[in-house]
Amino acid sequence: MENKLINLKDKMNETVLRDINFNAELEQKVLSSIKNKKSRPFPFRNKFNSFLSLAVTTVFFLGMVYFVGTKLHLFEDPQGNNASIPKEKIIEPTKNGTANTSFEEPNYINKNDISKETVFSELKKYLPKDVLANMPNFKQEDMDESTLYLWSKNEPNSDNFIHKIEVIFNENGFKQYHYKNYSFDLKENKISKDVANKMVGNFANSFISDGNQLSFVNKPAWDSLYEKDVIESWVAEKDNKEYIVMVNLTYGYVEFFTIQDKLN
Amino acid sequence: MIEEINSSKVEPPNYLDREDKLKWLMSTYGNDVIRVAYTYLKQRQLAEDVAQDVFIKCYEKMDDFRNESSYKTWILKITVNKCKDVLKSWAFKNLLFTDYFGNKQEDRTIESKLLKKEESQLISQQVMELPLKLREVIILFYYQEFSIEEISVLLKVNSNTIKTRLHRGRLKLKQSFEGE
Repeated sequence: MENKLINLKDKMNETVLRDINFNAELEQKVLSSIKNKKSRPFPFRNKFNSFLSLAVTTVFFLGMVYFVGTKLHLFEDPQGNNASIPKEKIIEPTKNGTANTSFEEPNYINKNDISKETVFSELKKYLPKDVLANMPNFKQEDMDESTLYLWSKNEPNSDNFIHKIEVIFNENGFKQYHYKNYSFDLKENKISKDVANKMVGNFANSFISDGNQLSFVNKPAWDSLYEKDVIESWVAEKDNKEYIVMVNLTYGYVEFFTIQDKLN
Repeated sequence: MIEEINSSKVEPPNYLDREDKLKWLMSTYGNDVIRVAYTYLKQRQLAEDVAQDVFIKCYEKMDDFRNESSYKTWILKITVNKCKDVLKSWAFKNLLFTDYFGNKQEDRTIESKLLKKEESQLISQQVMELPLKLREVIILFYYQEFSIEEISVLLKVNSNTIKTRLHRGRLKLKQSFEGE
């Protein structure tokens, strides 16, 4: 068999492959094909595809950068202010230490001159935006000599509260304060911790007789309300008492205040 | 003996540019390419198409050629791969089915020639009738005169497997002869 396969090339070329040749016509076809490929202008479609691909990649990349940046708070300034929040919504203290127009200096009041008007005129600085303008069926109730409830309801004789302000006084002013929102649509009014700190100081000056002697520190307290970076607490200590002020940073108001015996 | 023959070291002169190199390759290896393609595909038109594609690819990949093998091995490797792509394609399988009667007519022509007992025609026809895996090694070894090692590289198949296939191919051809 081996002998028969010798010179197979010649044998096949003379027989089955006799008419199979790479002739000049085929050669010319190859050369033409190559020349056509060379001379063909860069098609617009390819350009468009490249552009589209680049655009999609860029958008995707920027999207990822934005997403990661927001998650890692890379777009916030070192003071912790959120750059994505419009500046006008942030109440910043002025350079001389006083608050801006929406953040007025406190006026001290006490139980002796308590009235709806006096409390409201002062409390409005520490309440959420537009609360006082939205007090239908308002009612003020002196539960006893030291307790004042101010509330608003959808219907006068129902339990369907809109919001409620509870104040308990002692001889030095406020002993406890709590603004409770039930169904009022709060308007977002984000404030920084610096602003909140100033607000806490003013609140103490307004409603505590020796409030100007208190030195508040921002630290977690009052677990039932505390929520990091949302509802922050400021604590001051004096005469074995703890003064706790809770500020809602999202809506920019004082939500809670109390004085309690210091836990040892 | 045949393994010592190495006709595949022919290379185009260095002074040629890409296009001239391609022309040189076509004139030197054109017939090898189209005939090997034909032994795979058994259809002249497909073999021509494959041959054109092979040389276009050669032109495109000319700068990538690193002289690690001879030009002939490189070109025939492209050819074999192209042919296998065609054999795997749906279009080829469909074409094979529709060409069934045409092939039979050709077979009858060849059969009539076989009646003349011409050995060249007989051996050529028997080689073409071999199964693809046996046919390709017989063609590359006896027709293209590649060594077993070269075929091993070209087909990416172990050299022992090549030897086994060559043996089986020869055996099958012998049986075919004895059956005539």
